[in-house]
Amino acid sequence: MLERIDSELFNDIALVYKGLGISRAHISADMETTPDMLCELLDEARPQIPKTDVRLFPTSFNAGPSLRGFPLPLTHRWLSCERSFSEMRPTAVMAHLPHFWQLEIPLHAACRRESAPIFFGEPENIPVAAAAIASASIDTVIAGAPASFALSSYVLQKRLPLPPHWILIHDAFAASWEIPAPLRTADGMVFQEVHAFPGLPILEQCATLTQARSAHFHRSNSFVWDATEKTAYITSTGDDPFPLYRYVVPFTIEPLHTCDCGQEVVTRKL
Amino acid sequence: MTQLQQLNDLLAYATAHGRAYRRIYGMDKDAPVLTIGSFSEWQDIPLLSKSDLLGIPLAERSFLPMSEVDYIAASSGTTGTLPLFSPRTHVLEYEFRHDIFRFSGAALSSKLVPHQQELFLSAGGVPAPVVILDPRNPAVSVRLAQDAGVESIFAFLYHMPLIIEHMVRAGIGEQIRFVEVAGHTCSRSMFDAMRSAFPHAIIISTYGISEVERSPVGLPCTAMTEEHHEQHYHAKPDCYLELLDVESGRCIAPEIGYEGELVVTSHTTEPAAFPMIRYRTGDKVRVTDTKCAAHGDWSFSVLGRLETDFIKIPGGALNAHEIERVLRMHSDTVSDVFEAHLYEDTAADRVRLVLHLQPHPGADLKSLVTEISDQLRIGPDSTYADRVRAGHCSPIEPVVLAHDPLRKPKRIIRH
Ligand SMILES: [Zn+2]
Ligand SMILES: [Zn+2]
Repeated sequence: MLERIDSELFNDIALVYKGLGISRAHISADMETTPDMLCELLDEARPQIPKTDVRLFPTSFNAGPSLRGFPLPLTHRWLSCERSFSEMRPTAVMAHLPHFWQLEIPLHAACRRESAPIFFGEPENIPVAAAAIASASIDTVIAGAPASFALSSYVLQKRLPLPPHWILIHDAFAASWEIPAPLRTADGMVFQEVHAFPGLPILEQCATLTQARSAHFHRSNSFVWDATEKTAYITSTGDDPFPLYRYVVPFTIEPLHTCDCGQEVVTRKL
Repeated sequence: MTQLQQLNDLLAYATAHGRAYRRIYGMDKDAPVLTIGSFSEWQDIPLLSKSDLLGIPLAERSFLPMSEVDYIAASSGTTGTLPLFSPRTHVLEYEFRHDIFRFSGAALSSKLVPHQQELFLSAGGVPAPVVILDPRNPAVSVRLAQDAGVESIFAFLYHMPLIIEHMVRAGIGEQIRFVEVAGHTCSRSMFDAMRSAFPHAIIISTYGISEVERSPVGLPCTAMTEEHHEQHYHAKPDCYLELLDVESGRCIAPEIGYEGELVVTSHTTEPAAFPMIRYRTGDKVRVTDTKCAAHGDWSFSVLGRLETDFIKIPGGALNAHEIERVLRMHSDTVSDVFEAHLYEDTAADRVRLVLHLQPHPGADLKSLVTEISDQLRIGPDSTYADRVRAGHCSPIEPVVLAHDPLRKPKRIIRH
């Protein structure tokens, strides 16, 4: 199902890899890039990765020793977040994200486009986050999905108004993509995104999809998707400093129907 | 325009626009805007404190609509009190760094305004990424900074031990060329640790106040050196500083050696989200020069937080800066990093002082605290040992300091 990767795309990516000093032995049209393999490729490319015009995002949600820096352009925009903001029209946004995810700067840029101030919170400091909600006009929270459970229950327990708008980030490797019960029934908009690693959204939602509050998504069009019965692969389509080639996603996807917005709706098949 | 005119314009603007200052000054609806004709009239304008600001919701406090506010800063607040959230506009605050260093590479930042640091780098002509330090995940943050070719560090001082540990472990201390710390007074041992970890770096400290929009308000007179690790600051060009006598609450002239609370007015010409007028910083400073060679105005060093670093005890006051001075006299036995825990024994009408220290191996803590007790001044002519003899204080009890890198350090803790 879905798009096949054409040889032109492979040739383009092979050329970039060659320029990054990745040995030819690692590159073939039917190669699979597992997370471990990505680390090896990044290690090989490390001396060649430009230093000043890229931003490095962690290759994992787990801050362990196998984490590497994945380069995206310094000017890279978080487009799915920008689209969600343009639907939500936030008054003020709170980032409730671990700092090592390195999402603050693209998030600030997305806030400027929507003329909304940002407050950089710390997920470990829930009382301060709740105080910001109570007294700093925060109506939109962007958080890792697991962290949103603790925050929303604390806010309700303190009898504070729950911010109406949320963007929740799921780890592609998480066993389940749950959202807190209070957010399933909240009045505002709750956008969910699945990231292969922090900063790399692969599944997104449009305004229509947010209404169901379920784990139904659109595929990110930054990638060509190649999904089989068991595995799904993504391949970068843009001229990225380090394009992904047949990167193994830890699940496969199943098409459901066509959304009102015209895009295909997919769900995860484990 | 003279300074007095600038202050007058600021006052007129602040009381003509927005509701915050009219509310703080208790002006009724029809009261005309405030103006001043002399510095003595300026000194009659009420002083502002954090509690005045905490009482006004952020959206009402802001002089600009929320859509023009760039980000919201939070001041940490003392234990048990809520932080103050302050609106900030999009302005470049760090141009002074370009006079000190030519930036051309990535930075590691532990300050919560990474976008501002990155804007600063790109305004300097060489856009470069800012890697954000996650104090809970320092190893991976430093790993990303290493891969990005980090050359500078902007950090809160209390994060520095973590940064040093992981950068030294990664073997990248030598590539650091610029280090800027803020947030606390830098002890001698902390400076020495930075000097040894980053042998090729220019090390400076800035003095910032998170409630003040144009923070940092104090700029370094010179870089810190082995000879002068205590940073001297002068006011940023658009800040007006006053010195307040701690006892009388009156303004005093900034003569060399004078100590008092620093009061800040920030008179930016750009639209401000909140122009700050006569704000009591809660910081005790000492005047180091009446005319700094670099700036032309008076300069100061920061002694500590009035609320937490200067605690009254029977017959005097325990002063964090003084404890540090005494510890430095014993640098062969102990570092100058400490936590002083004060317990009030109301039944016996005495205070107990438990001093948490970082002794060097083999140090004799018992004889060390006896000497400290003799040397520690708690008044103009009395020492801690005098108060012990008078029966007002118990002998100092030494404890080895347990270091928690995630906690903001407090030098004196009252129980
Ligand atoms: Zn749709
Ligand atoms: Zn100076």
